[in-house]
Amino acid sequence: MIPPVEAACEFRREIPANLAAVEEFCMSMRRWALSMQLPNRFPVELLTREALINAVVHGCACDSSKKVACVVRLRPGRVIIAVNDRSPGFNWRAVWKRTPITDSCSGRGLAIIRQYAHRLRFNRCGNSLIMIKRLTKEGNR
Amino acid sequence: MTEPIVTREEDRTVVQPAGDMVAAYVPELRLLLRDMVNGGARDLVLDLSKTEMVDSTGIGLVIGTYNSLNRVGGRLTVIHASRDVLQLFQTMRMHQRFPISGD
Repeated sequence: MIPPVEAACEFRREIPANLAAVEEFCMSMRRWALSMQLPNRFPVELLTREALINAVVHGCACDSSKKVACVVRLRPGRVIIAVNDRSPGFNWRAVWKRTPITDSCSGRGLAIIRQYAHRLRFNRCGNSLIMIKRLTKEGNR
Repeated sequence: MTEPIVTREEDRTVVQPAGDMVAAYVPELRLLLRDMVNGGARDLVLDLSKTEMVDSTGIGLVIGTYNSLNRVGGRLTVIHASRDVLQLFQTMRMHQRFPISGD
């Protein structure tokens, strides 16, 4: 198990695969980001939420006995967000460029990640995602 | 999270969520909005003045509410969205379907 770490430039947790744990993680991360005076907090939190929801809902089927690990690293001029779980993953290549259906109530998580991350990389089986968000003084996208 | 505030002004129903519209809180908010529409609300206003964060699940809820209202000839308006939330809604092209205004 990964112990909680809130070193100056890193926020790391391993959480059970449920939405309440995602919320708790994100609120703790929000406090950490505020304490670090991190710019672009909204897109960083949004990217983290979407990656965690994907891992919890699609990777682990909201099975709390499974674990999802997340680390948010602050680096000069950028934030690196890594999320991974131990599920078999998913075929991200099949859905990667899919445009959300306008009337649909779901299917926007990856579209948001595509829009807000400057760089990202899935591993081969799709159970690990690394996103890079460049920090800017103006604008939050 | 505390209960959303619901106010009625003549034919208009204003729902103000008490916080973020994210995956953990969307189910209870969905029940409330569904009850509003099923109960006859046709001019529904979503006041986001206390909402800092909306994720893809929250966006799905707003779209679903718009769809439900659209089917019965109603309308949805979103007000007091923060700059970040407004930008997210615009990125997802939601402003092309119903009025959305910022702070």
